Amino acid sequence: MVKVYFELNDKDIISTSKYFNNSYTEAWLDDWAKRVIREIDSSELVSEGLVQSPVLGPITLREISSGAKALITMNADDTVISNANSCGDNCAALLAELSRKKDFEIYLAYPMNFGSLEFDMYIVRDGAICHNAREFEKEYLLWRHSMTF
Amino acid sequence: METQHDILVQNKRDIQFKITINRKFTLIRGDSATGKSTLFQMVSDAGTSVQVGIHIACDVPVVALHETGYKYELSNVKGRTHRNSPFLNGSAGRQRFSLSLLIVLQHFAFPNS
Repeated sequence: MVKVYFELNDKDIISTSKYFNNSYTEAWLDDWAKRVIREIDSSELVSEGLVQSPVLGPITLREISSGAKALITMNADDTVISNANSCGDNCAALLAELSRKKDFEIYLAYPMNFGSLEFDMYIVRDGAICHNAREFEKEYLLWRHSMTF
Repeated sequence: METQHDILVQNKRDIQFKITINRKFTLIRGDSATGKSTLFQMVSDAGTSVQVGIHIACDVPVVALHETGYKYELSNVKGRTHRNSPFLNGSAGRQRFSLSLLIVLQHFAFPNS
């Protein structure tokens, strides 16, 4: 199940790209990472440090997209709240799939489009459980409406 | 009043971005791995005093601002002056910016917008 924080203190927010670049180890580069890089970046993980991109050519792992870095971090690192604001809507399917496989935490402050996907989500703000986009969007709107401007 | 700016950012490896901006504030968003961070990195790399193989063409300066150090970065941009930038607080917002065009690409949300 993915535990979702709509808000976080600054000290708990990670910079997805910088955190990944300074934290990943060989153990992070498992089948999930290969799949993320293939499906999100349309690229292939060739070795620990090398990725073959159809657009950029051979690049280092530091140059993959922030969305891919976020999804890899969600799976590999339980010590931080992964920053899902780095993910575009095209990351929703893998995020939903991962939520049905393991427990992890994310910071998500925008209404990601989950479409018809099913997932296991716990909203930290009010303890609600969401399994589809409609339930998530309702929780998101409740949070936004609770804000004072 | 809206003013149009055409921006070309390219390197010698045939990576090229062409963007037309016609509002004071333009937010670029999209799926992951569609080039947002690459564009930002190229503009950032071009902001040095040495040759880096990146060409930027625009009628106004194009700069990349970073999470830290943006006040210093703004103080070194030459061009027209915008005062009291509405999205920068503190002393930076009160400075006489030498700022004509600002590209800020970062992955962040606007929870209070």
